[in-house]
Formats: sequence, C-alpha cells, structure tokens
Amino acid sequence: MPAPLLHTPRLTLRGHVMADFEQLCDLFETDRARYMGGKLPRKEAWRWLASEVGMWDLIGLGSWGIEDKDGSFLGQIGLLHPPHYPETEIGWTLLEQAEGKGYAAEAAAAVLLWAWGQGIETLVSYIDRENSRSIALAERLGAVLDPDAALPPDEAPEETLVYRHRPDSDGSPEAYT
Amino acid sequence: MSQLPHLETDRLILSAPGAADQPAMLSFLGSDRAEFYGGPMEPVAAWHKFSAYVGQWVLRGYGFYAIRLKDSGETIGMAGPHHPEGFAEPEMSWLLTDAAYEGKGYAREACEAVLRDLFETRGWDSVVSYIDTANAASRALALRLGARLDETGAPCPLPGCESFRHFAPGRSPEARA
Repeated sequence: MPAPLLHTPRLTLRGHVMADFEQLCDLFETDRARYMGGKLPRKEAWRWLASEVGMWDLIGLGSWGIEDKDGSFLGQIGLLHPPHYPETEIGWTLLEQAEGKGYAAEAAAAVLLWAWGQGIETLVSYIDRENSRSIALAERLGAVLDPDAALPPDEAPEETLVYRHRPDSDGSPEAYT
Repeated sequence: MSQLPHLETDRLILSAPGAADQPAMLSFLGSDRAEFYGGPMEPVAAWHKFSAYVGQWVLRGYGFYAIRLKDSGETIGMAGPHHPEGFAEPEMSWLLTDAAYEGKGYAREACEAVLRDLFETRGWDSVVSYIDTANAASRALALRLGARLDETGAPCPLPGCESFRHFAPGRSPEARA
C-alpha cells in the first residue's frame, strides 16, 4: 500500500519522494542527527529511508514526508516497526527551519488519529533523555513515561526514554481536530 | 507509481517485491549465497536491505522484480535495476535465492524479460551490471545476455567488481557508429 495522504490545517503528510532524500541527507550530516543515532552517511541514509518507504508495502506502516500547503518539505514522521522493535514507534524529525511552529505536534496528532482509526491500540516513542524538545512534544501529545516498556536491542535505558501513547491518553479524537 | 509493475515469461511472473517474497529473500540474505550481495547478514540488516529494495520502487519508479514460478507461485529470486545511493546509475542485478533453482535458465529468462522492459517499454539506452570478478556464474550470464565489459561509465562503486554493459538493440557503440 502507498502511504495514506493525511491533511491537517497547515500540513500535508504524503509518501516520500526522491527530493526528500536530499534534504534528509543534509539533515543527517549535521549535528541535529545526534538524537537519531548519530550522523548518518548518505549510503546508510538511503537504505534507512528506502526501508521506511518499503515498510508500507511490507507491514502497512512506514513514514510520511511532511510538507506545508506550498509544498515545501518540512520533515518526516513515521509509524515504524522493524522486526527488532518490540512494538510500533511513532517518531518525528523536522528540518531546523521548520521547528518552533507547532508543525511536529500537528503532524503527530494527525498520525496518532490515523493509527487509532486503524485499530492500533498503543504506540511508543523512543526518545533520547537529552532531547528536551521531543520529550516536551510527547508530553504535549498526552504520552506518558513507561519505565517498564521493552527497548529495541540497540537502545540503552541510560540513554533512551520510552513514552507511551494511547487513544485515551489525551482524551477523545476531537482533541486532534 | 500509477500501476504495479508486472512482467510474464513462459515460466515466470515478475512483479514488484512484497511481503510474500520476504521469507525467501531474508533466508537468501542470511546465507552464504549472499556473498556478492553484502551478505551473509544478520536478520535485522537483511530486513532493512530487503525493505529498501521494496522502497526503491516508490522512490525511483524502478527496482528489483521478485521472480516467482508461474506454476507454484514460489519466490525464487530477484532481478532488476538496483539503484542505491552511491551508484552513479541504476545497476542491472539478479539473484536466485536457492541452489535448487540454478541450472534451469530461470535467471536468464527473468533478466531477458527485465532488459526488454527497460529497453523497449522504458526506453533506456543501456544498463550496467557490476559483477564480482569471482562470481563466475554471473559473469557467464552477463555475457550470454549480450553484455560486454565496459569502461565508458562511472567507475564501478563496488570493490572487486567489473562493469558489464547491456545495450538496447541498435544502441551499442558499433550500431550507432
């Protein structure tokens, strides 16, 4: 299946296109990649992105490119469940110039609403303890720390927090509209 | 993609890879048979590699076809233009997932169908294959498919490999002279 098209008041979430790759590669070569497992060489970035795109066909989940209503690429959000993850993660990444405008919250709300509509019962976000921006967003979305949640094998509890999202954690779906 | 890619030969069906091909491909990538494909590799790496093959179709509009037997539907390999980051151009590649499928002309039958699609339907003039100097079977097949050693393209990006080039009918240097 292709990534479903999602709309919010200011954003469109759509499947990735090649142009996203260049901008994400630029992002991964900067220090902003520190919370995403470190700087990522272009060859690995390709496999990472193509894999997240391919997930839609393989497991019916994957990532979206986020763009504004003018079609400018702002970042990425995804529902990810590679086989070594104990459960499905919602993760997000914005380009630097797109931060501070509430875009990630708006995109995440739309993705959560879509996920709950698909019958997904819970999601986690694996967040670096030092990534205060993502922690604030997870809490704003109604997620709560889950110290008992299993971590993917390449994550360590000293570094990574698990925030848990549930359909009822911040009220009804109306909260997202 | 507006329509799912699909090719047929006497004995084979070639289509974009999906979940049905995953067990055969992960088994292949984890085995010694994957030595010329970056393997053998751990299950998580194999999954990322296979899902990136799937995602390449979406990002580039072409990619590896899964090769399935018409009679049984079982997946026996892949063939098609592989184009990860770091390759200056798409690379025609092929594999059979299990030794039991060798010696029956399946790889040749699949590659001929893919090359016809690239040249006749998609209008490509030529396509390169990077083949390990130790991979005698693939070198023999490349020659049988009409490819010849080629130094006109960008340097081969894979260590230990040589470039072979397949030309569309009438598009080889001699034919154009």
